[in-house]
Amino acid sequence: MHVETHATIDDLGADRLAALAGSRLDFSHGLLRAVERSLWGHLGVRYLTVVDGGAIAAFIPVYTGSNLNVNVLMPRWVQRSYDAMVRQLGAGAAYHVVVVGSLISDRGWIPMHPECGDPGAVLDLLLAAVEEIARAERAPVSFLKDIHADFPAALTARLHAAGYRQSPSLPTVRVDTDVPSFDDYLSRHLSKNGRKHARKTLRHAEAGLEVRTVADFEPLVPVVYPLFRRTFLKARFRFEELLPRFFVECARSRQPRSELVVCEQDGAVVGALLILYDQHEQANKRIGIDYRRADSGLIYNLLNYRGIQRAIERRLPTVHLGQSTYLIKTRIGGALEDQFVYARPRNLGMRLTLPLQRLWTERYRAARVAAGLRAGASI
Amino acid sequence: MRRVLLAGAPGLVGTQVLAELARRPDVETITLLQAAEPQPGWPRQLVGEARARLRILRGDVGEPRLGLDRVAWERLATAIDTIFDCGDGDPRRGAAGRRRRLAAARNAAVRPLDSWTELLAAQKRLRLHQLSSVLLAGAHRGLFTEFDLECGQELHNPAERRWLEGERLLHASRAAARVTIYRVSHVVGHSRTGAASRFDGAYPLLALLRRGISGLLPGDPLARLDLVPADYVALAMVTLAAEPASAGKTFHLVAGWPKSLPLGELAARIAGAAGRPRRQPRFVPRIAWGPLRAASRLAGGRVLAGFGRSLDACSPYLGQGPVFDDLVTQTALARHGIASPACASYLDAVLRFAEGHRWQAPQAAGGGGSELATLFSSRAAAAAATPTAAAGAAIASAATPATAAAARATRGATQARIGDYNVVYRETGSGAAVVLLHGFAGAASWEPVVERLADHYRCIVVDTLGLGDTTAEPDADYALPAQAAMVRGLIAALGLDAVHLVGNDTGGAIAQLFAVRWPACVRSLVLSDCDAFDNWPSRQVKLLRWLARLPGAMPALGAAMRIPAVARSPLGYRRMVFDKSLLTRERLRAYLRPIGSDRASRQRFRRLLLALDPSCTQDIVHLLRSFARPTLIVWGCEDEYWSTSWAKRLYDEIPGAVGLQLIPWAGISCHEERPEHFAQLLRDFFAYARSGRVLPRAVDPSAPPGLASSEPLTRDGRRLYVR
Repeated sequence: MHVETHATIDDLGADRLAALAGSRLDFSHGLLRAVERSLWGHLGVRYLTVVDGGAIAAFIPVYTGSNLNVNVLMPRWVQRSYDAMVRQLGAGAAYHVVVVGSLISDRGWIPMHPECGDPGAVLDLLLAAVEEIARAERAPVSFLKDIHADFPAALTARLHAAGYRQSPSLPTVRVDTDVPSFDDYLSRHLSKNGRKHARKTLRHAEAGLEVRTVADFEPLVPVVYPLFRRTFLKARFRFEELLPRFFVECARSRQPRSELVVCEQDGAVVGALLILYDQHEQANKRIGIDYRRADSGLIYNLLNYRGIQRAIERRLPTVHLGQSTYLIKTRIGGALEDQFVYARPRNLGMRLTLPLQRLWTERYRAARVAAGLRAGASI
Repeated sequence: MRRVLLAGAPGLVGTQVLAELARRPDVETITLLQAAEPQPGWPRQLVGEARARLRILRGDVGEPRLGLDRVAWERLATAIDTIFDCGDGDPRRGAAGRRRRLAAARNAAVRPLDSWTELLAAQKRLRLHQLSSVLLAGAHRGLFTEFDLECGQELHNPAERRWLEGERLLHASRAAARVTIYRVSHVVGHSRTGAASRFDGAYPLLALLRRGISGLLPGDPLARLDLVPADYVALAMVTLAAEPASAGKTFHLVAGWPKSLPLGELAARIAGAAGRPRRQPRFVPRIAWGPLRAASRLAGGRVLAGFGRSLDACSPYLGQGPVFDDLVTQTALARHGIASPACASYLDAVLRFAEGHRWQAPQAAGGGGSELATLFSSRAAAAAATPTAAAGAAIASAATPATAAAARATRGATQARIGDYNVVYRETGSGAAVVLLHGFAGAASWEPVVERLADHYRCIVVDTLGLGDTTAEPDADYALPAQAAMVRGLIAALGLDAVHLVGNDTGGAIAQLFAVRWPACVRSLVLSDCDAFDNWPSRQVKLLRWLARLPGAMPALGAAMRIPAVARSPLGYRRMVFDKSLLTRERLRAYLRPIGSDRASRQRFRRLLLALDPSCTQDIVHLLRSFARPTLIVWGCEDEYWSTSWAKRLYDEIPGAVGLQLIPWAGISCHEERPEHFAQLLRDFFAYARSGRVLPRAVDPSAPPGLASSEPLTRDGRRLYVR
């Protein structure tokens, strides 16, 4: 068993990755390729694979650079201070970090072959390779991004042993769509009021809005990108600032498949939802809304319902709705799931502040977020 | 694209665009040159047929209608089908341009665009290709795409603000769908020969790096310097201009992240080209920029004069924050096999040419000739170019004559007893009645507008209760609906049937309440930067309301506000205007009148604050939706209280709204800041309303798909409607 490093996802190929288990969609060839081709600024990627007898036993992308919003979960004043420091001292003062995992994931993981005999040893090899990269890049900290709560405990222990410390990340929202029809979905997952609201939303939408799905949406990217951008700039947690190219590449992706749910009124696009799916699951990756409109909330709900309808039509049992807008997503049937960031500090500053950072991020635990939602406060 | 008007031909990009157009046998070009500029040498560089297709028109983009007389203007409007504006609109370019005052930058932005939009309105098939700059992203750090306009940027200098305003104006214009915007990064000379007609822009920085003094420059060695050669820009512009699909879009003509060079690497390459060791040069951290600039200013004119000026000239290039994306441009140009060259591939040629010319621009008379000479075989030209006689002959003095009414004194205030109120109003001029309602800026704020309207209109400025001299019985109602009724009573008392109603700020809310309740009394309605829907009270007014409940707070506040520094602070009146130099003592005194003058005024002000209830404007939304009288929405682009998205919403909600006009460089008190502009809008609008014609909507804010991109983005936490 040994580790290989690849400069591009195309070196690996879609089929070899498809054989790996765990978060298939987020670590799929098409999505990682789209991300790779739309990286900008001081940010690069390489892919680590553990090869065992010619077959890939495990695989993980490793992003290095300073163009990552690593402070996004921190208090606002920390973010502002950091920005001011970089502005005044130059890009050289920015944290050059190592991030392990898919940049755009709903469910962080380390994909491994189902028949991998010794996952622990494989993980150790990967961590050693990450360590080497971090040392070469002189990164003050390395992260394992958004490891999901289902990650095997034995492997988690190895992460701890390697010096990584766990802290909560934003929870993800999963929807169970293993139902025969959308009506069943509504009756099974939504409260009485929720069902009433959903039907009202769909009925209202029929009046003036037209919703359609577009499989080959590349020509639509110039029209819908501004909506995605608008939504990004409105978001509280701005993780990845995506180029238009990302959406173009997603449109070209065949593994996973992609489609765009488009909401139009009088021929003008007022909302769009980017969906990626394979034979196992679906992820509603990005939503874009024209927030200047008074009915933007209606459009948001409509797109989400339509996304869920598509999954039910395809008989996909799970839909991931992402890491934001928890109040609405839970009301339409979503369930919160914990995700964790594992950070390994390398310099004194990080070592000293990491406990405080972990303390701060405790607020993002799914249980606390859910309690907040029950109390009427959404993060 | 057959007949093209080219402005800014002597510029770095303009020269190359002219050369590109000259290459196309089916294109005739009229180049617009200022009257003061000497006869250029370009036509002699053109040969035979290419020369015959070139005409020179004497005019000035800084003048209304390009400084042409009516006949020449109308002839021009019908003769051309495409406009290329490659100028920066002001002869003072480079560092001088960046240092110039805001007012000069404002004129440079607005005047040419006024001419272009007028031409576009006159000729429905005309298209405008406007050169802009990615530098309008200012100090923004992060991605800046072709779909962005507002990105939370802070701008370094008036030049950047000018570009931003220029684009805002174009997007708000009726002909936005026929405008193509080309945002360029730092343009340098020809990619093959390095030829350049002037050495401004990034050249001063290149010169400093060539001299090897980067160690004194406050820069970020990892920040990219996005250079782009002029010939690529010109080729891209002319190619895209020929495509109908490019209309209404924005293109980034930039090198982009992969093809640009980090400042440190650029400095090393330049050092290598100058024969010095190619080690990575050092820069002073940008945090030292402030002290260095102060030092350079202190030393200005003596020891560090030249360096200080160079430092100022280089400031925008030393720490480029944004990363420019150009996917739309790449996609459009890929069909033609055009791509921006990598900076490293032409840097040597650019440096060689600049060094050969000692970093000095060629003589103005021959400006641009060298580039054309490289593009066209320069056989001896027998005759000089023939300037057009018909179109270029006359430059009319179309400058607006000084308003005669400016000298007219506003008559003294008059009082009328209306119910519980002693309404104070000021009446000026004769003609159709215009009632103007003010907000926190006070009644005096309307004076500059009234002076300009009084020739043709009977202007009645009504003092708002609590914010002016109008007084009331102790138990009178200070709420805005009651004040609307008060205005109705005054109009009846004056014997007027219907009036043009104009409201700003709180006066705008009163005007809305009046309009929906007595629509028959409204000939037309103008709402400017006003309370509407649930956008009020602002945080500042909320604070005032809180203070109003505290005993003794109002006198203390009045005393504090009498200190000019406090009055000019953000807690005071700083946000009333965009151009802070307008906050003179006289103006502040007028603003302070409700709280600073006497106890009774303060008491009225306090009662008004306590009576403010935003539900009154929320309750009339359904009535606004059926208000069909001609309505104009006028909004200051820089309104720090209510962003232009509120103007858009008013425009959308009121079916009678025939226009949405954004006034650049102006805040909530836009009628005070740009009285001429405001008055002109009112005159035009009243004329329309009087004609009783059914109007098309003057501005179509529902952006076309290609333009819908840039957007109401957050800037300092507020939302902006852009197009």
